[in-house]
Amino acid sequence: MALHEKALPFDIQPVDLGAKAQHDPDYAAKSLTHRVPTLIHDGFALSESSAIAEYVDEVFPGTALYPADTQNRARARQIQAWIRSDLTPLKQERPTEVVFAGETWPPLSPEAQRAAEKLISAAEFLLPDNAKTLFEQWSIADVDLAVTLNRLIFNGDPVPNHLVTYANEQWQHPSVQLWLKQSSPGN
Amino acid sequence: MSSPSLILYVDSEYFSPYALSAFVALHEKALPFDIQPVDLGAICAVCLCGSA
Repeated sequence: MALHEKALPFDIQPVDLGAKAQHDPDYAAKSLTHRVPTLIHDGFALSESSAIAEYVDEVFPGTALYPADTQNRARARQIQAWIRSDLTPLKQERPTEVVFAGETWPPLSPEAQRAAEKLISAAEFLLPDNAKTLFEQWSIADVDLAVTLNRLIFNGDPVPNHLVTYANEQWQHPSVQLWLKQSSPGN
Repeated sequence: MSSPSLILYVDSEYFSPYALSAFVALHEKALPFDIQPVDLGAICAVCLCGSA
């Protein structure tokens, strides 16, 4: 598996967690909202993942994280904000342990089923004709949409085949696979 | 690596989809960065914070 496509170095610093984390003055002082993820760039602390992605995209060269076209870029931000703020019953009944720890949860409640149908309907609208990415090129919104679809797919819930194919291909992205290596160190 | 200019705090379980999104964003820029896992369970007991 091509995990290190870009041969990017990064260090894991497994500090003394538990007792340490709650008293960690660095993290408490730097993280405005005490949430993860938080990025610290030369002393500037930023939380909220979509804000981090937009900042990183503006500051650093390299692979574009958002589409160049204004309306597509706005759409990508809309998708990210929607995934973060809506679909709550689905996220509660298909927690990320389904995606990252292989758990299987009971059948969806009617509320969560409605959220699932909303997600699938939106994904089908956004990904016509078996598109491999939301826009002409990969964007960070593809990662967010694939994770959300995988809450259903990994649990064995019914999802249209072309959306399963899309999510599976997004899951093979080298940067995603590198993260999965951390969440499942035994693999 | 001494004095990295980029540090990403993530949940220590690596279960946060939003931490994943931020991680991918940084990794795609091919920049060196440090990852600092944070035990959310320990933090949440104190300040009721969450993952976003």
